[in-house]
Parts: sequence; structure tokens; C-alpha cells
Amino acid sequence: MLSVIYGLKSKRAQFKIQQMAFMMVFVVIFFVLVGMFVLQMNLGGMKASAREKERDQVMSALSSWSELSEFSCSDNSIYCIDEDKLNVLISSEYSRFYENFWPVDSITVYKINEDWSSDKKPILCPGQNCNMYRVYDSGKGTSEYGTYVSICKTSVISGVAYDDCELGLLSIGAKNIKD
Amino acid sequence: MIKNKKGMEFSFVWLFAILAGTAILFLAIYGAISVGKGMSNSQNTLVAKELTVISDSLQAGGAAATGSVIHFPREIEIYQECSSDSFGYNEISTKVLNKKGKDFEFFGELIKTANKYIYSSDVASREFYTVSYPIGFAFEIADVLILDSQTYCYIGLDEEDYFQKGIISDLTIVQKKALFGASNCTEDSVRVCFGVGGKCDITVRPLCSDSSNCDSEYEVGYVEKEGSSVAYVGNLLYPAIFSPKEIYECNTKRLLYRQFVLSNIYLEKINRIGSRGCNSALSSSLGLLGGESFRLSMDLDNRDLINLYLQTKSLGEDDLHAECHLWS
Repeated sequence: MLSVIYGLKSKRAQFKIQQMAFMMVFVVIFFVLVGMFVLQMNLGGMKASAREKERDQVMSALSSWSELSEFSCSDNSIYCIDEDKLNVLISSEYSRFYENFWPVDSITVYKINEDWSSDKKPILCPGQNCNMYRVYDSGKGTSEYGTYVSICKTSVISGVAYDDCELGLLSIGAKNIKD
Repeated sequence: MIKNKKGMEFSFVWLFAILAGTAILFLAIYGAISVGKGMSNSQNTLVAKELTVISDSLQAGGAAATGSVIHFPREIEIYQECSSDSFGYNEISTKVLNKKGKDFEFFGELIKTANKYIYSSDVASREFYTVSYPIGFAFEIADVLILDSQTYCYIGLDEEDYFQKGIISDLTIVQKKALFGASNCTEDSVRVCFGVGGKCDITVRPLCSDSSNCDSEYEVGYVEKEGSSVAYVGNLLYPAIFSPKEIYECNTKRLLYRQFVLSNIYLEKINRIGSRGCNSALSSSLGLLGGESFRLSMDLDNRDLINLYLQTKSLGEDDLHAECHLWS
């Protein structure tokens, strides 16, 4: 009789422990879900802020980079890029120097000359009739923003030096800023 | 015996509930604190990123100097690190202080920037003065950006002297509330003495004499503070006054390395314009500037920095008078 009562009580106790264990598991799962929800919200906001900052960085770069000593024309006029400097910067030696210098994912300068057309593939410089200077490319760029600039080089005609300029497009790329 | 077993059953259930409950509660509190820390960290990191982004528009960009003020809704502290390996980089991190200004907060992630030269003090404030100056020996290397929040009192500058008047004007750009003259100094202001002795936190000692190749008395010299001394040339006077020695020397090395690379770019440009009939006689001087800049970027020496500046600053004039200009 005593062992029957003990057996019944023991089963009841086991049932209670199981009940409590299930409850604990549900409580843990609830907290984990709440935590994941909060983290997701937080991460979503952070991703949006990061994209916004990337876009701000590209925008501010577009407005000020033609004034950098690496690009600027000899007369320091605004939105003017020195073509001779571009030719030096695209050489492999200088590309290596500046590899970790630029805070964006790509820098390309296009010459908008008679060979330029939006549906025609640009010709990479250096080369004959080239119109695309790839200054830097990390291989990650997905979105590009651009601004029009002058591309100038100093030439001499009849003993008089002058700036020979063409219309150009400075294009800067950064990853995922349009997402 | 039965009573004892009943007691065992009751206490085990409660013991299990208490242990499991405590574990869950502990995990929940730990999770909440971690999420809170993460949010605070992301907020601090965003402020630092914002600072590096807006620093583009705060740069002089061809102007002699530009100044501005950044207001923050809460008090913030800026922490800065610098590496001078080749182009090097600045890393800045910020900490938004709580309302009581107590130090319970943590700095956010370090934001790395390789194409900017930032000099900041580590004083907490809601208002930061920013000023940007172009730096260069013969040609402009880059604009530097100073971030500061302290009140400075300048002693020993002569308002009648043309060049010292220029320094006063530049210093007023740094800080609109700048104080001039020993009698106007306040208790909490940092005392900066130009040439004179006395009770000074920072002393600027000019090195130019009538016989040297200087345009003004304070064009080159030394800035002494906290028991150490750094050499400055041209506009590097201002970063030397406002930034800690380590940051100043690191950024100066970075600027010298960039000057070395730019000298080489100009040497290549001489070859290119030469092929179009434009000749330049600056090759040897540029070679010297590049070579010495590289050496100093590896091992900065105060005296050599001043000598190199004085030897090569005439290059700017030479380029101005050349048939085809390289940079002017």
C-alpha cells in the first residue's frame, strides 16, 4: 500500500518537474524571440544609418575631391582634374601606393569626348582614343555617383603654354548605398 | 519516513524552480545589458562616422583657412589614434556622455580615415571648434583639420606687426572667443605664450632670424608643452599648439610621406609635359624634396624638418615663374 502511494506521489512529482521544465523552455524561447526581434530592429536601423553615411561620404567626396592635390589642375580651379596626374595615378606603381588610401570603393574619370556614348563601352586608359581612367577599384562597388568636371592638360602652341581642357565625369562608387 | 520523502519532493521542485528561474533571469538581464551596450556602441560609432564624413566639408579646400563650430546635443569625448606607416591613417572614436557627465559610457568603434589629417584634443564638450588649414612646403599637400573645445589665451602677439596680425586672425578662426593679452586670461583658459616667458601652458619659440630664409618671425620654430618640444613649419604651427605631441608627430610623418608621393607625381608630370614642348627646371629640387620627405616620414627630426622647409619653399616661386606650371 505504502509503495503504491509512494509510486503515485513520485509520478506526480515527476509530472510537476516535467511541467516546470516545459514552462522554463517556453520562457527561454520567449526571451530569445524578444531578443531576436529587438536585435533585428536594431540591426535594421544600423544598416540604414551605415548606408546613409556611405552615401554622405560619396556626396562630400564628389564635391571636394577635384581639389585634392592628386587630382587638382595647376591653377587650382574648382572641379578641374589634371589629365597628366590621372595618367600617373592609373599606373600600377601609383595604384599600389594609394591602395588603402581612398575611403570609397571605386574612382573612375570619364572623358566625355566624341567617342563617348552612354550605350558604348568606354575605352580604358592608357590606350588610343581612350576615355576611361580607372584610378581605383576595390571590386566591391555596386552604385556609382558622378559629377561633371573639366579634364585639363598643359600644352604649348607656337611657344605659348595653354590649358587644353575637355568635359569629364568624376564617378565614385560605394557598395550597397542604393539598397 | 513518508513525511521526510514528502519534504524532499517539495524542496526539489522549489530548488529546481529557483535555479532555473535564476538562470533565466540572469540570462535576460545579461541580454538586456548586452543589447543596451550594443545600442550605445552603435550610437557612439555613428557619431564618429558622422564626424569623419562632415570633416570633408569642413576642410579649407583651396581657402587660406576655414573655421566652424559643431554643436552636439550631449557632451561628447573624442578619442584618437594615429598610424604613420606609409600614408598612415587616423582613427577616431567618440563617447556620448550621460546627462550627469559621469563616465559610465564606452567609446564606440574606431572609424578609420586614411585621407584626412585630424588633430583633436581629448577634452569632453558639447561644442567643438573646427578649423582647417592647407599644409605644404612648396606645393599644397593636404588640408588639416583641428577639433578643439578649450578656451585659449594668447600672450605676446603684437597686433601692430603685419604677420603677427595674420596669426591673430588665424587663431580667431580657430576660436571665436579667443582671448588675447595676459590681462584678459581667465583661470580656466590655456595660456599660449609667443616668445615670452612667464606662466605659460604652451610656449611658441620662433627660430627665424633676419639672416634666415623666413618671411615672418614665427614661420618656423618650436612649440613647447607638457615638458616636450616639437618643431613646426608654416601652418603646422596651429596643429602643434592644439594637438597632443604623439598625434602631431604622427600626422606630420603622414603628410611628409604624401609629399614624397606627390613630388614623384610632379616629377612624372614634368616628363609628360616635356614631351609636349613644356619644359620645367624643377626636377632636381623636386627630387630633393621627395627624397628628404620620405626620409623624414620614416624618422622625423625637428632640425631637418625646418631645414627642408626653408630650402624648398622657394620652389613654389620658381614654379609660379616657370613657362608651364606644375601646381601654381
